[in-house]
Amino acid sequence: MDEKTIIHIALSVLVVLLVIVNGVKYGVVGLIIVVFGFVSLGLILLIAFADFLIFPAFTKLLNIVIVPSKGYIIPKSQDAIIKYSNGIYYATGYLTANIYNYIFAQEQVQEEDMALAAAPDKWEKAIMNIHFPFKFNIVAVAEEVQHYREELEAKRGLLEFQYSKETQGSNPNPMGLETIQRQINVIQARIDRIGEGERPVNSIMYIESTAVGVSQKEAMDRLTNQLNELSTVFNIFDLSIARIMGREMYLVHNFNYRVPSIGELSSEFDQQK
Amino acid sequence: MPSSNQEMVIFIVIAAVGFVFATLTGLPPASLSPVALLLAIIALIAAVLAFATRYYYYLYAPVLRSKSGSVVLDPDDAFYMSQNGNAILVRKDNLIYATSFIKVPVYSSSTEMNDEQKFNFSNVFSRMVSISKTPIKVTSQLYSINKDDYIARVTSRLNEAEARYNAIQLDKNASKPQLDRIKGEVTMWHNLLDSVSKANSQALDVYAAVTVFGGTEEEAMNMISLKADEVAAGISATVGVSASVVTGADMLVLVEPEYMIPPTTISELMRYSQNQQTQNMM
Repeated sequence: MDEKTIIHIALSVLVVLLVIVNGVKYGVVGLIIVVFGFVSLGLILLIAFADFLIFPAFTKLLNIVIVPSKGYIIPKSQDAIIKYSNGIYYATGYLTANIYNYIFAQEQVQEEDMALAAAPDKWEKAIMNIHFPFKFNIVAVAEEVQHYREELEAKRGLLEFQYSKETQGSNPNPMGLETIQRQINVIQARIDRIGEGERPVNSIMYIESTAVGVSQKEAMDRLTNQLNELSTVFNIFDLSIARIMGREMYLVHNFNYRVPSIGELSSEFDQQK
Repeated sequence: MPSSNQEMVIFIVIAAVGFVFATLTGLPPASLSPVALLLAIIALIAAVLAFATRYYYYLYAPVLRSKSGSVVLDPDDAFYMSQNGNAILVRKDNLIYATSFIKVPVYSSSTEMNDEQKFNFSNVFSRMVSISKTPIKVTSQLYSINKDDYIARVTSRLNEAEARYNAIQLDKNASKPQLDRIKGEVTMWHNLLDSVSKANSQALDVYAAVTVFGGTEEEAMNMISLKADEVAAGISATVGVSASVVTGADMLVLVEPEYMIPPTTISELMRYSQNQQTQNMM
């Protein structure tokens, strides 16, 4: 959660708490105020952590259709962007898909290499099974190399210190030593890759597909089928796939026309690392 | 006004309203508790709306303006093409954003690679997405090939052959082998037209997109030309292919759904979708 969101939460919650504190003295009415206060707190937290649930519910309830630009509509279900052109409805939907794993977790370097070697085969197998238009998008921004390298070197220094401390102890634990050594190897591999010219990146990955139909409902039904099929096909990469809805769908739709700035990326999304 | 300032102004105004009404909630005497309830409800609504500005500030003004259930965020087209045809332009917050697309022609297949080559290919791709200091969008797009021109050519040849066949049928001097040959030609064009219309013809393209902004169109267009050339050169050097900036109508295939799925292929997609649904039901 970024600074801006924390400020928004803090001030909004402060208003709610002020209402609760001022309201408790009114007896039964005070009790109602307190209940409303807690409902408001719940709403604020839901918007903060699960607005993809709240916003479509809100647009469905009020029957709101959003027109993001001329010729396009976002229906009240907030799960697709529809374009009507030449008597045909084009429904476009999005899925999250974090494949690109540059900043690897605590895994062995050997496994990382194997995963990289297997990726082209997996990709081609996936593509061969898809018979409708789709896009796999990676929005990436390279991090500041020097700063990232210094961070890694500091981490490596700390681990090397822990390793030497462990070996100098009276009863060194072989399992612990192995774990520390593996962590050092992982960090060293990252430093080496940076030395070879590779830059660490922050990225957002998503899949986009478009379906057609002679009615809006038909196009949206077909889109749901296509997205389900894409989820199945891309499972080969062992991904966590979810349908993008509401606000984030509108944002990624705009990425077609304008690649976002670093500020927008960091403030609107929890970036995938 | 830049969007982040706009967001903060809306947030501060609504939060201030919330604070005022929250403070007023404690002022009425116990006998006027319904008034306190009303003030509290206004303060709580303001608190929720104030927080919602964090993600939805851009909706507030359009919602207030909307008369029916339709909230119009932008009455204009999503983008327009630059004069030189090298970029698409978007006007937002008094700035012009220019986006260019750089095609990455990758024709190698994993079936032709050994394990080391596959590993190197993945590494090269990893480097490609990190060549720019500013955000870059790399897309692999599977789309339907526009076969309109080809189908028109085949149909014209078919009509031509059918006309000749009809003419030769009326000619009493025509030999049987001559008649059979033209009949065979008509059948060939018929079969070709059938197979072209029914086949699902798709293409896979990889491209990168970059955006810059400027105060005027000229500024944005000049800057995006430099940026696109820089990224194309970076990709060419990293991947070892000849990356080039996409121009003119070719850009529409990358951004507009009706160009990604041209009219001739819609029936193919619908047929495929119906087959899939039938299979799922079985």
